[in-house]
Amino acid sequence: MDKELLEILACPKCKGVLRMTVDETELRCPACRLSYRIDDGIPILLVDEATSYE
Amino acid sequence: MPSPPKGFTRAQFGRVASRYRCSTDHSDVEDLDLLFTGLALDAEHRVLDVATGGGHTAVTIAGRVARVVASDLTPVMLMEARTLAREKGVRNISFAVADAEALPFADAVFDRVTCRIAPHHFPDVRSALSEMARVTRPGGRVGIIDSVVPGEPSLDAFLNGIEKVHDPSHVRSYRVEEWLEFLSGAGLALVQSASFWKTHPFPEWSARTGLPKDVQWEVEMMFLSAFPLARETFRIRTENGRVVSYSDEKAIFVAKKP
Repeated sequence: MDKELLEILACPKCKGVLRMTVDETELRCPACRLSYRIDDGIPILLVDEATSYE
Repeated sequence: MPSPPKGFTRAQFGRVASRYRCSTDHSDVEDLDLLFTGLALDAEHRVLDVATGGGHTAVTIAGRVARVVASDLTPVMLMEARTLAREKGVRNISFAVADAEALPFADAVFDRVTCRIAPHHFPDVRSALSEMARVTRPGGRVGIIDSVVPGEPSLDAFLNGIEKVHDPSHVRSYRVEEWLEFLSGAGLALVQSASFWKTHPFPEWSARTGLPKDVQWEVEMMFLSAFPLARETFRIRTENGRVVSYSDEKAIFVAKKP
């Protein structure tokens, strides 16, 4: 996933900043504790498909 | 009438995604010239194309601006859009699976936002427009193209009724007056509006949404039994008892975020 896109992305739920995991497979919203997966380079930024993390 | 669930819309477009990349209705980008005039695109602009579908709008715009982000609810559609971008050698484009009503972008990060021939699928157009306005910078512009219906209620019901059978993910094509209200409700000021009629060759249009033959025939019967005003308004052409083509009206709205 390209880094320029990451700069303007926000959590679709709270519109807060997203952070990419070290392995670059997920984008996480620290405020909502939601994780959005990246499929084949395309982030899936749907609240319904996000998973909770601790 | 309740809207189809979004999962349903995704499943519908997932099944037929490649037909949209190849569809003449969606790849015929002449209406984009009209849209571009109103958008006043600049080589420095960052543009978001919402519900990009097969990616025609996003890929065309990418040739004129610095950066395009193409979003769609359906991952398979975005794969098709990415294929189109690669075929055309377009590299300044990024993709994100997103719901138009809950856009995953920070406030005011786009110079222009476009959405072409898609809002009639949105369960809540007002929310989608308010999201598009939110991600547009002050002074930026939002450009919309979608099918519209005439003010006459019987014509509105006729065409929306057919569209819903033809494409179960169809929610509603709106009247121009409704669009103007949606735009002002999202805090956007109209800069330009225009409309044009588009003719759809029936066999391709009918097959595009992947319906079983009997449902395609049901849609054709609806056209064949159209009342005279509908037949005339939508220019329904028939030959040997079969529908050859029909026309519908598309409207273009460009609005500015104050």
